[in-house]
Amino acid sequence: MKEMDEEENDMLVNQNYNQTFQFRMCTEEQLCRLHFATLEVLERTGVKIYEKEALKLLKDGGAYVDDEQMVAKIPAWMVEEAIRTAPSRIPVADMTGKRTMFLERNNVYYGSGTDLPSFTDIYTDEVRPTTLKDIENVARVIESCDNFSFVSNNGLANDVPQELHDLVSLKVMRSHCKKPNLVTATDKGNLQALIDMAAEMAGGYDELRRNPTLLLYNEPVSPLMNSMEAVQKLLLCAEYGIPTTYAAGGVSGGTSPVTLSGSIVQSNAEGLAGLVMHQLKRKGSPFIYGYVYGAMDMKTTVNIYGGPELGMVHTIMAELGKFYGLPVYGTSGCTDAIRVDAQAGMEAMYSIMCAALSGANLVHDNGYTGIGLIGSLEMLLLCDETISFVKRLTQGIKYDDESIALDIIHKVGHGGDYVSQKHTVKHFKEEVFYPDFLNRKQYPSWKEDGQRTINEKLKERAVEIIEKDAPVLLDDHTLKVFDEIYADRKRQMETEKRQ
Amino acid sequence: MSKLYKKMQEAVLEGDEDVVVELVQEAIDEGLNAEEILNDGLIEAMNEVAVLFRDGDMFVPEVLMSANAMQAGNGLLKPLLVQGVSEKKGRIVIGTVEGDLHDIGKKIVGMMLEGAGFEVIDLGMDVKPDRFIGALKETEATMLGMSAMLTTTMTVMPVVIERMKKEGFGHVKVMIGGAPVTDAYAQQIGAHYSYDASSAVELAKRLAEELKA
Repeated sequence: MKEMDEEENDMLVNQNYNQTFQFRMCTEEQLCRLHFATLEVLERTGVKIYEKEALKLLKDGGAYVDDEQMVAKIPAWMVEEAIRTAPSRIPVADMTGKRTMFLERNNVYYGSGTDLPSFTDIYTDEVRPTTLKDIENVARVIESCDNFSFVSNNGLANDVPQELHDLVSLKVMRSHCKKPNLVTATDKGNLQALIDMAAEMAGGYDELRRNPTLLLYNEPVSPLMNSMEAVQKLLLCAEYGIPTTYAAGGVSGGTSPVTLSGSIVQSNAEGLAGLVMHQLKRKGSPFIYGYVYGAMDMKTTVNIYGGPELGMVHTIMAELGKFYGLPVYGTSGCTDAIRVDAQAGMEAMYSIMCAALSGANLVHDNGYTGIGLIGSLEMLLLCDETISFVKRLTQGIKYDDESIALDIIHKVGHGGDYVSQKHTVKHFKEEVFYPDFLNRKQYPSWKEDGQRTINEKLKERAVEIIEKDAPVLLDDHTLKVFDEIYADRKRQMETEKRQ
Repeated sequence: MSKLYKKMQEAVLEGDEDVVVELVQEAIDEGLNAEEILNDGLIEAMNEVAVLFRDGDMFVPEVLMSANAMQAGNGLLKPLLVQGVSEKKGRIVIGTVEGDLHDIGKKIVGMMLEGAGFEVIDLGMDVKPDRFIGALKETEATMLGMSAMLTTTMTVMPVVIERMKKEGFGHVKVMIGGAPVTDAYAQQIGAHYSYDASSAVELAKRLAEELKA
C-alpha cells in the first residue's frame, strides 16, 4: 500500500472528525441548574454529621454548624474551593506498583463490585452464602479478564470472622490478582489495617500515596446523613492519600426524591459535603466523585440495579464530574436478573455502553446479579466480553486513505473479491470484533460443537480458570506481615470491645 | 536441509509469497528433490494451516494468503515434478448457477479447496448449464460444485444434474451450497451439501476418497 501512503501528503483542510460517538445528556445550562440547586441544598438544609472532628473542620473552615443538632450548612464558596483543590486526575497502580489506571477526564476503567452476601455456585447453580473460596475464584477470573482494570471482592465471605472479612478479602484478592483493589472497610481501624497492608507491599506510606494501589468505596447515608464510621474513613483516606469515593446510594422514591433530577441534586449535595470535609482535612487528597443510583421498585421495594434510568443518571453524573473536573465513579454490568439470562445480557450491555459513552472513570459493579445481592463468575466473564464489544464501538471508524481504500476498490473492481487481498489480512482484526463467547457458528457446525449456549461456554471457561493450577502471587514474607496485621487488629478490636 | 524447509513452512504460515518463492528457488538451486520440497516444505505447512484454522487460531484471509504463497512456490516446482507426482487431491469445477451474480461464497470455497490441495476450475458466476457440461468435458473433472444465493436460482441446480446424467457425467460427484440451500434439498436433487467453506473442504475430501475407492 505504498502508493497510498505517498498520496496521504495531499493537503486536506478544515477537517473536524468524530473519532467516536459524541454522547451527552445535559447542556452546560442544565449542569449549572443541577449544580446551583445542589449548593442551595448544602446552604439551606445542610448535612447531618455524626463525627466531631469533621464538624470542627467545617466550623473552622467557615460553615454554619449547629453542634447540638450535628448539622452543618455549607456555603457555596467552601464547596467551590473544595472542587478547586481536589485533583482532576488520580493515577492508580497495580500491586506491583505499575501505574495502570489514570482516572481522569474520559478514561474509562471497569471492575467488579463489593460485598455480595450470596453467590451462584458454579457447579450446582445453587444460590448460597458467599465463601472465601468464591472471592479467590473472583480474583482468579478477574486476573484473566483483559477488560477488567481493577478488582473488588464481588462477595462478602460468610465463613470468616465478619468484623475482619475486609482484611481477609484483601489478602485473598492479592494472592490471586495483581490489579488495583477497590475495597470497603468496616471501620476506621480496619481501614488503617488495609492501608498498612497496602503500604507494606508498596514500600511505605509515601510510596503508597504516590502510587495508590487501594481505592476505598465509602458512602454517606441518604438522605443527607453522615455516619461516624464513614466520615472517619473519609478523613483517614485524606490523611494517607488513599483515593476514596463518597458516593451516595440514595434510592429514588425511598431515600431521595423519586424524580431523577431531584435524586441527582440531593446525592450531589451528599457527595460534595463529603468532598468539603475531605479537602479540609488535607487539600489535594484524591477524591472520586459520584452517585450510585438506584430507584425503588414500588411493586417489590427493591433497589433496582438494571433498567434504563441507571444509565441515564450515571451519564449525568459523569457529565457533572467533568463539569467539576473530578474523576468520576461509575456503575455498570449489573442486573436484577437472578440468573445470567437474557435480562442479564440486556441490562449489562446497556449500562456498560452508557458508562463507556459517558466517559465515567472508575466503573464498578460489573458482574453483579440478583439486584446487587448475588455474585456470579459467569456474569463476570459475560461483562468482560460485553466491555470488549463496547470497546470496539468506542474505537470508532477511521477515515484515512488506507481505510477509505480507493485503490483497493479499484483494483478488485467489478465482481472481484476482498477476502484474499493483503488489505483485508492487514486490517480485519482491528476493524471487526471477534468475541470469545458469542456464537458465530452456523447451525450444523454449532450442533457438531456440542450445541453449547453462551451460558455453557461461560461456565466452562470459569471452571477452567478456577481449576487451573495458579501460584499464589504473594511471597511468604508479605503473607506473614499480612497475618501479623490481621492478628494485631484482632487484638485491638478485643480491647476496643472491652472498653 | 530441514532448516530450509522450516523457514519455508514459516513463510507459508505467514502467507509471505515473496519469501516462499525465494526459498523454493534456493532449494531448487541446491539440487534438492522437487517432490521433497513440495511435501516437506509446502504441503507440510498447509497441513499446519488447516489445523490452526480448525482450532480458530487462523482466520480465512490468513488461510488464503498462505494458500497463495504455497501456490506461488508450487509454480516453480511444477515443471520439475515427475508426471503423476504433482497430481492433486482431485479436480473440481465450480460456479455460481445461471441468473445468479453472487460470487464471494463460491470463490472462498474455491480458494479454500485450492489451499487443501485440490485443482479448482472456477467458471465464475451466472454459469449456464451448457457451460458446466462443457467444462466437465474439457477438464475431465470428477467433481462439480454449484452455488446459489437466491431461491429463484437454486432451481437451476437440478437442471444441471439432469443434463449431467444424460450426457454421461453421472459419475461426477456434485456439491452444492449457498444461503437458501439445505441438506434436504441436496438429497432431493442428488447432490451433497455443505454449509460453509471449511465444511465444503471436508466434504470434498470425503468425496475424493469415495472416488478413489
